[in-house]
Amino acid sequence: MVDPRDTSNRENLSVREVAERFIELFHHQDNPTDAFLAWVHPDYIQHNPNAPTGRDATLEVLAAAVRNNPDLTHDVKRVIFGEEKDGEGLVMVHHHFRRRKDERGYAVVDILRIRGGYVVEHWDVMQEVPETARNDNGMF
Amino acid sequence: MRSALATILAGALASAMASTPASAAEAPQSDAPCTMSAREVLDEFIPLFFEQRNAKVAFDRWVHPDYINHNPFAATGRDAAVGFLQPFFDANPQARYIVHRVIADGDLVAVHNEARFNPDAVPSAVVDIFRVENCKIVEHWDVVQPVPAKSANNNGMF
Repeated sequence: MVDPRDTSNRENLSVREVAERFIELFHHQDNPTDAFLAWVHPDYIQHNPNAPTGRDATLEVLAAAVRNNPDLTHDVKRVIFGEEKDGEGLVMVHHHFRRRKDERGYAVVDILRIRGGYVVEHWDVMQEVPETARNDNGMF
Repeated sequence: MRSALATILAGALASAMASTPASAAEAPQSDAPCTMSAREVLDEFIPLFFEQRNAKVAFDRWVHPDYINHNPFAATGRDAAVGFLQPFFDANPQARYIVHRVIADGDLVAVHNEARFNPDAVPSAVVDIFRVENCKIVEHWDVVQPVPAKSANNNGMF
């Protein structure tokens, strides 16, 4: 089992390998600090309108969220590893984000652009899971 | 209003795509096995649906009748989607989608797009995720968020 914090061979990792290590730390372990310090480029371009751009500014917001919501979880439902070209590619993570176990929470898609062994850009879309639905399929 | 619109757009799309057990997926028109990848199917579907807003043709051609829709505001199944979407597009000729990026791997394709009711409306950020089986879209998930008036950064949502 690879240590998801191991960046020693960063420049030779595939986009998929970088994404898998980031997702393990950020989404599965709910550890934004380790995820960001290991894998996010300092000049990271942030498109989430609630977070400032740049690695350290975004990390401050995320670390505060974990401190304020120690039970928050990102339940990953599906990941799409896009085609890698010249060491660059896009990865989509569809997950169920909850700040507390007893809330309906949010459907979220994170899109990561990975280049040169770093997450260099991020977009996301969030939607609160409604109380009722017109079908029985669930949002995931 | 704008978020209702975006939800409607996305909901319609979602409903069009969402309701079929994988095993029930329809075979291609001929008896020959389907050889198109999911990405190739979406490369046909995207211009028809997102660019031309021709819901009837896009869905009749590329969506399985029993597709499974996860959009909570849409009824499941292809015909429910077309029955909602086509009249919506006909009545709202200024509605637009802008496809910003497409991510594909195996049987899944994600389309990150911007949905707008009319040129003056605030857009919504949308990700639609499609699952393709035997050259038909058989399942659809989406996430919709109105673009807020103010942002903590200057990068935009796309």
